[in-house]
Amino acid sequence: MKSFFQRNKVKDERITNLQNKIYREIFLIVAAICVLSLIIKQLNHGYSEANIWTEAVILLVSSFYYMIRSTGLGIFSAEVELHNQASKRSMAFKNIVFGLLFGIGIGTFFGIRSAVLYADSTLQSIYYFLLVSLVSFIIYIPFLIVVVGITYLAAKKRSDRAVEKELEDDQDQDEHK
Amino acid sequence: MKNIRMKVARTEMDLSQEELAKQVGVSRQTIGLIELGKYNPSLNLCIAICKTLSKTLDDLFWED
Repeated sequence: MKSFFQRNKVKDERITNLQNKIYREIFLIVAAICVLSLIIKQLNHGYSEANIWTEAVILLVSSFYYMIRSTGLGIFSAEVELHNQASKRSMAFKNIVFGLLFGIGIGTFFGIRSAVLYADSTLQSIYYFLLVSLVSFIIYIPFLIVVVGITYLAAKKRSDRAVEKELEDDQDQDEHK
Repeated sequence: MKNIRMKVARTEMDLSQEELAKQVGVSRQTIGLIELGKYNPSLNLCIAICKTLSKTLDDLFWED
């Protein structure tokens, strides 16, 4: 007969998996609320750094935490491996394209913003749009490609090291086949 | 506890960890950790590994 303090060693995986699913959904809800809050604040009060930093901290810290944990546990490498198995384009390539598109998006946004806020005539708004967009492209596209690329490479390197450490007992050399 | 039987079955089929992982649809790290006994796979993954290596669940995962 089990004593009162004796614990059952078998955990109910179904409950644990469902709880993890709920936690994931909660995170998505929190992230969606933060993004929605940012949009509403921008529309109602205009751009102000003081207004957005709570949401920014929630979004950035949670993303940063995921990156640190996933690279520390080595699952980032596994994610890249699985992605590259299933996709024609490698994750490294997609990251570079993401940096490029993000740079184009930011440049275009600044261009439109300058044309709308500061131009007095149609011709001037076109000129401002082209000028600001071009300068923003020159600054942001290389910057974002480098930042995204370096972050990706650093995360991959850290994750690969974690995998090597975790598998270091393994004497199997057949990965070099 | 290391899963030597799975490792032996894999080498008998002349498969690397990477090749087995690809056929099963998981990462090489996961196969390595199962063989090292550091990760308990789900029943679905066990069955997929058994089918790929032409073994039964008893052959690979039952501890006497």
